[in-house]
Amino acid sequence: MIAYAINELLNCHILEQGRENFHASKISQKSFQKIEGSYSCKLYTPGLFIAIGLGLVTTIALIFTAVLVGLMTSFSNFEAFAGISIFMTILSYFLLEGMVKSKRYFNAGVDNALMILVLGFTAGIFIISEINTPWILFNVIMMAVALWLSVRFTDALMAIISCAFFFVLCFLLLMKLGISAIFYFPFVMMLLSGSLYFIVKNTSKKVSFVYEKCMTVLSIFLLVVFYASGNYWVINEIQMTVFNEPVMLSFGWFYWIFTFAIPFLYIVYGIAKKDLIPIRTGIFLVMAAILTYKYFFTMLPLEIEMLLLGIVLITVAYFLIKWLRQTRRGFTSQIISPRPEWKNIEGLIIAETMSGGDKTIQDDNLFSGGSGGGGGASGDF
Amino acid sequence: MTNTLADKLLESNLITEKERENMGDTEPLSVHWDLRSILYLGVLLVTTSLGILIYKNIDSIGHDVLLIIISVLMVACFAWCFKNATGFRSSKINNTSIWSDYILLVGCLLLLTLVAYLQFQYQLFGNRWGLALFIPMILLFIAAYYFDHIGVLSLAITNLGAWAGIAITPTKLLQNNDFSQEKVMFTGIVLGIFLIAMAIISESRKIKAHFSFTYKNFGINLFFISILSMLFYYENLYLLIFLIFCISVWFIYKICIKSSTYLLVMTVLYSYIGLSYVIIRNLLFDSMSNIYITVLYFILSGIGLIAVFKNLQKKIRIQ
Repeated sequence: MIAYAINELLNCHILEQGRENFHASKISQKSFQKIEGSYSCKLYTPGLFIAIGLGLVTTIALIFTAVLVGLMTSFSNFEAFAGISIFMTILSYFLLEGMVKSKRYFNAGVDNALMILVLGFTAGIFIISEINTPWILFNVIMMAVALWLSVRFTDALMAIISCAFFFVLCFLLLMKLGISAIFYFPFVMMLLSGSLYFIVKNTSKKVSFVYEKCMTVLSIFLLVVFYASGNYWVINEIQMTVFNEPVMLSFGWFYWIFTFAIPFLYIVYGIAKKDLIPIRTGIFLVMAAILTYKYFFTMLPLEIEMLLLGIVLITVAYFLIKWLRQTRRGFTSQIISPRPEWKNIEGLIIAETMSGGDKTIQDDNLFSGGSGGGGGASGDF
Repeated sequence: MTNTLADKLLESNLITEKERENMGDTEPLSVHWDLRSILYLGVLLVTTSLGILIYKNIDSIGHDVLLIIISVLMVACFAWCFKNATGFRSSKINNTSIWSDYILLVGCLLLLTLVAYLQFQYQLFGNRWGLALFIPMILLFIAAYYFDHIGVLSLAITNLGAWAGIAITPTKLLQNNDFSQEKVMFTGIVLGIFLIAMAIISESRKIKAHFSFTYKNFGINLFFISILSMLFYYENLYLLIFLIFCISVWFIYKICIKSSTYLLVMTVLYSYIGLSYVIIRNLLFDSMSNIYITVLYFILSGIGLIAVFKNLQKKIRIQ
């Protein structure tokens, strides 16, 4: 069922593990070279940026192929458009199969772009037609296509997309029961995403290593969905869209507790299980909870709230960094792994967020305009 | 998984008994980068909100008091940094303390606020607005080099851009600049070349060689966007500009090939935009009759670029 030979994936996996252990100086260079000698990875996986470049140009080539097909058939109606979409779906899929087989692309950008294009053209078949889109069928097919792609090419993004279509499908089916079913929707979603999370967690140790990444990414996605299904803002928005008017949420107090308690529960759960994923997700969701609250209430002027939050964050970080100098409960604030590659962009983030940046050009002399400024403040004086 | 893998490697005699034990050890989880990100967010929120607070309450607090507070805080930050600094070294300084980075950053932000405040309120530099940007820029560069701080270096480069009349932070580069103005294009090119030169100098002279990525990143993006705008703008001279463009692509390709795949990919994509513009301009100049060839060009060039990227990947791997 998998497009790659298991042995090939295994070799790459062992090599990768060897490299990690070598970088963590758990094994010597000599041993790592020995491992490199015995296991060779023939799959083509370039670095992230090359992959992005490859993905971009693949997309350009395929989109213009669609344009060419369109020009040649001189399409004029929706049926023709659907026909082109069907043709392009099939073409992209066979290209994907062929490329993976002959060139052994594995997360090389080309294969990722082709998978997205397969999905995109499949959606094109449905959306660009005159008849009302049969949404349930649409979701079933999209879910199935994405699931197939994720299983066959062990792709994490497709796993998430498939899962997302599954949730939308559940929503549509539930709405078939009548409009009042919307009140049960949050609980259905919590139940579904919660149980799926534990299924994924428990099976991820048993399933083959090839799906390790899919499982990890899926578990993050499910944590976020579980939170979203009880978040006050999300529920409010969904109900407003369904009823087309502002609504008063029943069980509002429950959703508020949920909105604030879940992120902290994630963090506690992560600490107890020594799992960084729920911790990091939890930290992000704390921000989401604060934003949710901000959307409905204003207690203090914005800048005072920002100041207080900033002070809280600095204090928390300060004490945790100090407290975790020594390893406690399996956590440490010391650097173990080397500086991650993306940290190169730290400087850019600082330039982006902390410099005023708005500039004014004065026409009379060249080196005169612009404003530097810091903290987003000085430009305003 | 790791344990069975380690056993397997031991069986095939690829690793030693001791290494097998090492691999089995569970290490403590490091939350270093997580905590640093939280700290960064905190610093960002506090400095921004303080700025707004000062701005809103200028009348009730009084300028003198505010200036004194800002100055005292700034001096305190810099004093702390000097006390804990190792002094200037041309190589990379590995900071042991997390705090020094952030305290320096706060100090530099306060410096910018202070100078801007003095200029707007008291016209410290009179009408010479350039000077109000130039002096903090010089101070930022000195701080970046002395304390070895890439973030402050980025602030300094942004200030350099502002002084020259261009906003060069990543998102504002295209948003806030009018690249159809000749002045902006030329300034962009000069500044871009200057920054690329700085990158080359820091590498060849080994003066803070690790700063070169930051210089290159700002320089290359700025240069390419400016020269592409010139290509689009001067319709009569486009062949000449295209020639210059090709030469600079070759040159930039040479300096990027060793250092960063990100910059390499950007270079290739910018070149593709330039090349495609010239080709399409010629194809579709008189009529739309060449539309098929144009579409074919995009299909074939897309496929061609895949080969280009794969070749680059190979070259990088060899190096």
